[in-house]
Amino acid sequence: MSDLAKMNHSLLQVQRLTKHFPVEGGWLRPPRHVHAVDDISFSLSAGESFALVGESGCGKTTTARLLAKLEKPDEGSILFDEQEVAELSGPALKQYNRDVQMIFQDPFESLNPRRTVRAILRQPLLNHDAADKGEIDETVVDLLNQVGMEPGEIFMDRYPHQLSGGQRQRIGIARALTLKPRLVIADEPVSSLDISIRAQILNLLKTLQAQHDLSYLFITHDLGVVRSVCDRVGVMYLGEIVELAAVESLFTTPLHPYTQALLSATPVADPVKARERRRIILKGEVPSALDPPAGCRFHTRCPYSEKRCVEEKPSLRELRPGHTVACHFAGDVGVEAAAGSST
Amino acid sequence: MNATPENTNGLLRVSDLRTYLDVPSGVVKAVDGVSLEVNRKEAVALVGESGSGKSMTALTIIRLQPVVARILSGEILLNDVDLLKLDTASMCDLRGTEVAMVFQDPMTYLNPVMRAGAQVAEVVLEHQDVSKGEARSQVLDAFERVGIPSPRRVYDSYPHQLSGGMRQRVLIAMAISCRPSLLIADEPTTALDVTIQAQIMDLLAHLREELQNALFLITHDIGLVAEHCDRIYIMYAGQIVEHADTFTLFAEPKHPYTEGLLRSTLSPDKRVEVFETIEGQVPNPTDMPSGCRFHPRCPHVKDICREESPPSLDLGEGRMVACWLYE
Repeated sequence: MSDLAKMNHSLLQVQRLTKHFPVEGGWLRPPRHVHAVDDISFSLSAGESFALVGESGCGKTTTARLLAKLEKPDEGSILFDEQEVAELSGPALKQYNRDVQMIFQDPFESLNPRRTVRAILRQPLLNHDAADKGEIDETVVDLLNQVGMEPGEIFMDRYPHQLSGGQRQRIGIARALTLKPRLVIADEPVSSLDISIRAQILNLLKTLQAQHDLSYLFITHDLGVVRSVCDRVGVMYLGEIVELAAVESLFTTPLHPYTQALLSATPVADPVKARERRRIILKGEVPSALDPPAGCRFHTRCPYSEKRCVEEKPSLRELRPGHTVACHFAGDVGVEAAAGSST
Repeated sequence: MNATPENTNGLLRVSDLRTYLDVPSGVVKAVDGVSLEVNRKEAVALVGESGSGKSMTALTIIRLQPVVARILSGEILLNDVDLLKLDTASMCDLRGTEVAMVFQDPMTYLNPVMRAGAQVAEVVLEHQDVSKGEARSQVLDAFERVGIPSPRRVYDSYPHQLSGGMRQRVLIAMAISCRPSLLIADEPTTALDVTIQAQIMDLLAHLREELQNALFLITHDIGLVAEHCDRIYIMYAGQIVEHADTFTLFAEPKHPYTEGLLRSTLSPDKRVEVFETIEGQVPNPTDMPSGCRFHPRCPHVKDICREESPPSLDLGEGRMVACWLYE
């Protein structure tokens, strides 16, 4: 990969980011750490949609919270526009807080039930002095129209409980847009919505991206959404990125056994394909992040695990252009054959 | 299994079921004239979005509907016995032995202060004339059958000490402990991760082969159904709008709602640039639209759709659709 050329266009660069949460020890029991995010690196260009994919407890949400400065990293750096985020202060920090916004999974829990739509959307504008006092209402109506709640005026005085799930998510999106961000972090933005509403919201996110030149970081477990919405993907397992690739490359030639299993476990809405494909059912469950396995963290569940996997931690290798994977045996015959038949 | 009905391999037959709920803002017609059938050893799905009444249908079948629910009409025949006519005691006897249910969130359905094994043993002791020791060994058997890696340890664990997938396995063990001929699973994997979901769906298929039970799967996930079920009922706003075998339904959906649902489902096997949507939203349950309940969102709406509710049309070969387009 032409790293230099790429770096110049990166909006966001995450390098060796690490976050461990301490867990209280007990009597005679030393305190331990949850390895939530362990040494992950990725970058995101302007206008790009990048997905972090993984199952619960893999650290994808912690990564989002680190980027949104809701948590402090233990190690590693986050460069936004080539500036170290941890070192920002004063007006630069305030600008970062405007540039990076978040959309949450559950629009009911992330909207204050006692405030009207008007109040919810006014607050960021007031906090950041981002609109003339006299024009705030106009700005809010405009935002509502943009997120498909037309005419915006009739929704201004409603409370979240008076809206449907899809409408609430639209308010969540409108709130994220109030300050004209450049990067929007969407943490499972559609997983609590019904299928027919899901497509509406994803279309809206795509339209808004084109209109406002947004970059998206999607945090999700839903590979169906990822294939249609994102440009590049990082697959996480137990706090680490195990595979990083462009969307088509990942879906047509998944290299990591975990990615292959994840893909084969994702339901395909086509009975013929669903029954023909090779299914990989993983044994067991994700081990505790308190005490992650030595060597390759996936070795306890991997169908191809060998002695080397237990002893030696695989590092990320670029096996195809722009497609990196952390597995000793990725690309070897057995593993690749499985990938070919699972699509 | 016990009472052998003469001609068919029919197991469950629900006809014209109506379950209404009295709520402060009016009456919710949660289940409004639902008819469906599940045959022996079959896997049948009831698919619908939230608020479609699919869970209420399942709860009514097993007669665990909430107190505010009124059953206005209908017949639920299980092995030719009408469950709605049974007294509570006989229904309790049937639950577990003939029909059992697995729920979405296993934590809610397990007693948090009772060891997992004891909870399952309770079911066995209730329905079978066995000693405590025998019950225990039956439970350990069931645990092994549902793929619990160390049955003895799990037997003595409290629910909070188990993972989500393991709790669901305990619940499934409980459901199958008395070999029911019908297993109802209401969103059994929605709360689980995909790799665990695959394990559980695989387990349900395995058990069906082994125990020869029928599976009635309630879900919103049409992808899950594509892989695991023989026939599908599509439910919208309290009514069944379409029924067909899985392959036919995916190949040529008839009802505009089914069509919309299939088109707006994103699948990992292909990239879609612009997603087709179903405009609007599910109607308010206390204030259903007149005529066909889907008409405000339907791209093919005609005058008659606004006025009259469409009849359930038999399209032959077991296909049914409730839509004026095919009249």
